[in-house]
Amino acid sequence: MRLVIGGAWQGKKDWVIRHWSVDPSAVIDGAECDAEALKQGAAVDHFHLLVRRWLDAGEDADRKTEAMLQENPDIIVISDETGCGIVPVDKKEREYRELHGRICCRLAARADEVVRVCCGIGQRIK
Amino acid sequence: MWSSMSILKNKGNLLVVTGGSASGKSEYAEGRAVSLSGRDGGSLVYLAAMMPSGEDARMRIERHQRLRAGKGFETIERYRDIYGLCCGDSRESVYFREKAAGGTVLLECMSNLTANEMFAETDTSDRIPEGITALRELVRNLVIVTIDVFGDGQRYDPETERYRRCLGLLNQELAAWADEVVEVVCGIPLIHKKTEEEQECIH
Repeated sequence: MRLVIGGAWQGKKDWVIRHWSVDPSAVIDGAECDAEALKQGAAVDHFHLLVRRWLDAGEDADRKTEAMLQENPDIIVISDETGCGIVPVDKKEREYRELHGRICCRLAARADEVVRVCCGIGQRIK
Repeated sequence: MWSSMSILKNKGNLLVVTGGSASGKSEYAEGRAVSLSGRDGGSLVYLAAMMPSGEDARMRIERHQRLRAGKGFETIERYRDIYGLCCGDSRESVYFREKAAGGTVLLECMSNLTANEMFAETDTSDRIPEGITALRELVRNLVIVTIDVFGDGQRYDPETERYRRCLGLLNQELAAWADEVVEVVCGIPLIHKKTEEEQECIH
């Protein structure tokens, strides 16, 4: 598993397609993909939105992440960084940021490679 | 080499750790404080600036307490006026000086300290730098955790923006003073600054 993180609109997905020669049609969208696509995709983009969907559906996002890694161990996870703002007043928003941040820490710890993309430039941080 | 320079400067080694929420920065900072204290001996103090008000704050504090458990920290709470803590005559100040002098102190978190100073009856946030200076003169190693609240592209109300400005300027000042500045991203430390003395010391 490889993890690609960075702010919104930094060219993370394009970086993955270009530098890791991934077929664009094999990059699924965390905002809408189903469980089956998650098993087969080469990469999942907008992983933070997938975490959000799990949270909103009342699912255990840690367990869902674990299942994703079991079923698709070579997946490339592409995610926005979500923690660099004022802590939200809304409880659900706080819960989401905390959950997503901790999941990304665990993904990074397990990843074979972690790349942070800023302005389209990827920096290999692990 | 570094220790003799440190005595000449009469200022403790300063490590600033930043990162977003839930980035793993606290765990990293704790690990560094523990190893600095192990290297140099002396006490290991956790200076907690977060007020335990509200369920959310209590949960965060409990989480941090679990993380620190068994690492040998003595926790001292201080929500504002670090200068007074370091230089005052109160029993609390005397106790803190005894504990912290020549040791390693982990101050967490600048976001809380800044908010507590800014949103007190009178805004005393301009006194934070002298507090940090006094603390640094007291200890051997100072580790400060701060937070990146500057990168989500949102527009905030004027009061929140004033807070972000204050914290941003403080972060710049701390980083300018620091021997080492580390940003933690998904639990991975990215080194932004490291002085030569500090590098020699690590190798």
